[in-house]
Amino acid sequence: MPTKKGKERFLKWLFYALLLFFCYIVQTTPGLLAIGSIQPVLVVPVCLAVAVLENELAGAIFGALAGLMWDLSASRISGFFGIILCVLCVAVSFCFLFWIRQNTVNFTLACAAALLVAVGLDYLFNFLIFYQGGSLYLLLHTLLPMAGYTLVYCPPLFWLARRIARRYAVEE
Amino acid sequence: MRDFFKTTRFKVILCVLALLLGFMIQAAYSGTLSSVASKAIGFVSTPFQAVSSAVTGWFGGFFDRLTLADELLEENTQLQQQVRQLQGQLADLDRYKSENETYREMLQIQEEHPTFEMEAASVIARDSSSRFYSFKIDRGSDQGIALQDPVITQAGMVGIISEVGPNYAVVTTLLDPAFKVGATATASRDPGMVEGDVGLAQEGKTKLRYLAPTSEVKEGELVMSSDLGGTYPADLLIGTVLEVQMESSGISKYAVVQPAVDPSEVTSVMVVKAY
Repeated sequence: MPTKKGKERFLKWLFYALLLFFCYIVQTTPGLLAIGSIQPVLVVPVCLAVAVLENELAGAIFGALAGLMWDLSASRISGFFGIILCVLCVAVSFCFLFWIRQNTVNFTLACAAALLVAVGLDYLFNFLIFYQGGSLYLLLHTLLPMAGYTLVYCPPLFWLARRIARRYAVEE
Repeated sequence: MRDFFKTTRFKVILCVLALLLGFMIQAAYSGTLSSVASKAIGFVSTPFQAVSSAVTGWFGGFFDRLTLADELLEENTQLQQQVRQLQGQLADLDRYKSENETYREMLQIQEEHPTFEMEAASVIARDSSSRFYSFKIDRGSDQGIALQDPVITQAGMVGIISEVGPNYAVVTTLLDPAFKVGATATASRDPGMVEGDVGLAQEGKTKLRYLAPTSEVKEGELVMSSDLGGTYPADLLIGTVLEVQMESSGISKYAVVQPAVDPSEVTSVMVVKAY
């Protein structure tokens, strides 16, 4: 017989997962939320929000899932963004646990730092190594604008995730 | 913080990272970009992406009718002027008809290649961080699509299948440096290889490389696929030559090619499953 606590926990993780999946669908729908050819990477703020609001293990798992989704949509080798987001989520989780206050501004700044790291590593391993300077336009006209545009959606996604966390908060 | 490295959570996180590394190794070993996990995510997400894409397209068309009314009226007036001008050019109709039939013979894929077995597919997902406008379609191995199958439209070649799931596939476009196909220029019949170029991709162009130094390829020539190597069928339109240059090595020439199809704009394609 599932307990009330167990049900609350299950619903909380279910809604986190649905939020992540929904954001993945929205980010890959052609033309939706697009400015020119730039669309936001919504899965990154969602997995970082889970890492901030929950714990480092939850952040690592959601980071891995979000990264695998991003790998599929961006045609990167499977696991590339998975590893990056997994590590970033653990790091962000610890930062907010020990040093940083949980609020929307700090979360947006953390997202910005995480996106810069992810985009920088992506450019280094997938473009600079193979195409050297000829691919700089990709960084300046696609990857960095995409990261910047994603920040616009950080506050509402953090608010949504925090609503889920507070609604289904389980006293440990 | 140091105690964290002795906890079960840390060990679980290490397991997750090891699993992700395993996916990466599996993807690299299989020669594709995808792992079992990616295929599972793709299989589950494809129906939702198809619905989302259809709904977004419908709403986009609906609001376009409201917001573009003034533009459409002006365009209508201009088009009426053009119709009057064209009516005065009816004397050239026979010549246009003859040229049209030549282009139809060249470009009408089904009439030229009745042996092609094709599968129609819709573009259901794009990601702005994807490489060189690669996209996802709503057909996969369940419909007989396989890796390296050419992807075309009525206008010409778009790319090749680089990843396949049961109900989806990912298309690498001809702007991608990983895209390589044997090709010939139609007038001079000079063989070469169409290969994406990072520098040209930003302008939406690609490259016909390995032309002989004595090649007579000229601006305006059509570039078609050849069946050298046996990987792709022949006579698929790739694009038009814009200019011809000598490679920096001085050994061969290359031509800058304007693709017949803009990969960033396609919404539906055909996959050549067999030929």
